[in-house]
Amino acid sequence: MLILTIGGFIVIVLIDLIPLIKHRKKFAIIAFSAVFALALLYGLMNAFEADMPSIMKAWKSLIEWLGIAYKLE
Amino acid sequence: MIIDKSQISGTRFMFAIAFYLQSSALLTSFIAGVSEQESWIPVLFGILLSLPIIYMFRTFMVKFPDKNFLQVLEMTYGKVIGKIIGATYVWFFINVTSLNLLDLGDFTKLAILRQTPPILVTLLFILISVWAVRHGFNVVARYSSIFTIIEFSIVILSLILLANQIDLNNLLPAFQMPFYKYVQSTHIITTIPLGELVVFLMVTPCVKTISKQQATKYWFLGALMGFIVLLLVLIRDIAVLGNNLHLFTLPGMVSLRLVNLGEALSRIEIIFAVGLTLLLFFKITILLYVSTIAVAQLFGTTQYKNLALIIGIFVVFYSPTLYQNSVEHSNSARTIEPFVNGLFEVILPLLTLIIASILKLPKNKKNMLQKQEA
Repeated sequence: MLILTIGGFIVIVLIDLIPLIKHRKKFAIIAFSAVFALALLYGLMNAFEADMPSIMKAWKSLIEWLGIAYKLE
Repeated sequence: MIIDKSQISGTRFMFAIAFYLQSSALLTSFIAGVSEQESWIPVLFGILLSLPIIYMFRTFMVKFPDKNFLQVLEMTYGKVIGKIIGATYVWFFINVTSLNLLDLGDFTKLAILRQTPPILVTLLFILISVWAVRHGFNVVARYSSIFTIIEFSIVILSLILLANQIDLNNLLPAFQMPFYKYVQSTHIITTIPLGELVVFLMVTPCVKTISKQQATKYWFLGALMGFIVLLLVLIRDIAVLGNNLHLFTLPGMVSLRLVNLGEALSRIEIIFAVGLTLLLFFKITILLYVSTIAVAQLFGTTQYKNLALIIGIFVVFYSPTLYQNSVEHSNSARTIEPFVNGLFEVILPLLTLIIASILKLPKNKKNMLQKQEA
């Protein structure tokens, strides 16, 4: 699974990042790199079956702290 | 800065809205757990409440015909605050895409491919969506019109085939539940899925020049077509399943399983499964397109095609982290998500529109009105 994940990301770099570098699209490279870093992090965590914190749980804490969440019955 | 130069007609835009709303037929199960067999009442209220929201979206299109929503945010709040709010919208679009992809994975695991890991199904879907996104919104929206009609036909057919199972008394009694349940259900249905039409504010620059009246017509007609299907699906499920509606994760599937007209016409829930898969695919493709355009806009690049694949892969790995299972997802949709969605779908756009009106934006308005001959 790990090898497949890393292989997949290498393919994505070859398909999308190399052309951006060739054409010197600076902002696109920055955008790609930012999303790539996040995707790689999540991909590796998935490959290692590690638990990732859920952003929706953070929203849940905030909404409940504000006291506006609906109650489950 | 125009990121995607492809253009679609107003009619195709209208059908895209209709098909997008039809895709949310799966989400009506969220309110079934709250208002049970009276769910048709909050849906009616939700439709009424969403009309001014849709009018607000249409106003954005009329005032800023060549600007996507993130560009409007920058114009209204300035570059820095506009980018910060834009970044939150990038998260919101990616989050909605991930939630719908999660629904697709859960649905296929539950109903069709029980032994297949959902990540494989979602990965394959995303790869096809990425292919569509890379070819522009024209390709993304291309089959919306024909499939809106097909989906409508499937719903009508299901009503005919279930005619012997339908008991309209199951819609009653009405207004017997505590008031807060109606408020909660209406809030849920208004924000999930009706308010999600906010995503179309990112594609309005792709719509060919149309008049103010046409913009109003396309938004409301498209929404109306979607509303009708949503309401028909819900009423069908309530009329067939009655008080048991809230027990099922996929009430539509269960309803169609009950079709029994002789040996030839039974177990046709596969039609529902195929139809829903088509719908979800379209919705996810639109959302992936919107997410890609939003990221490109945030970073100030027009090379959105090279971002589509990596964003798609991120969504595939991000979506399973949101909720552990479909029960947790359902519970969150009933208690938390209406507030999160309401912020991005109603509060922030309304605030933006008010501030833009005060600042008399846009300053150099490209007149979208066609010169109408007297």
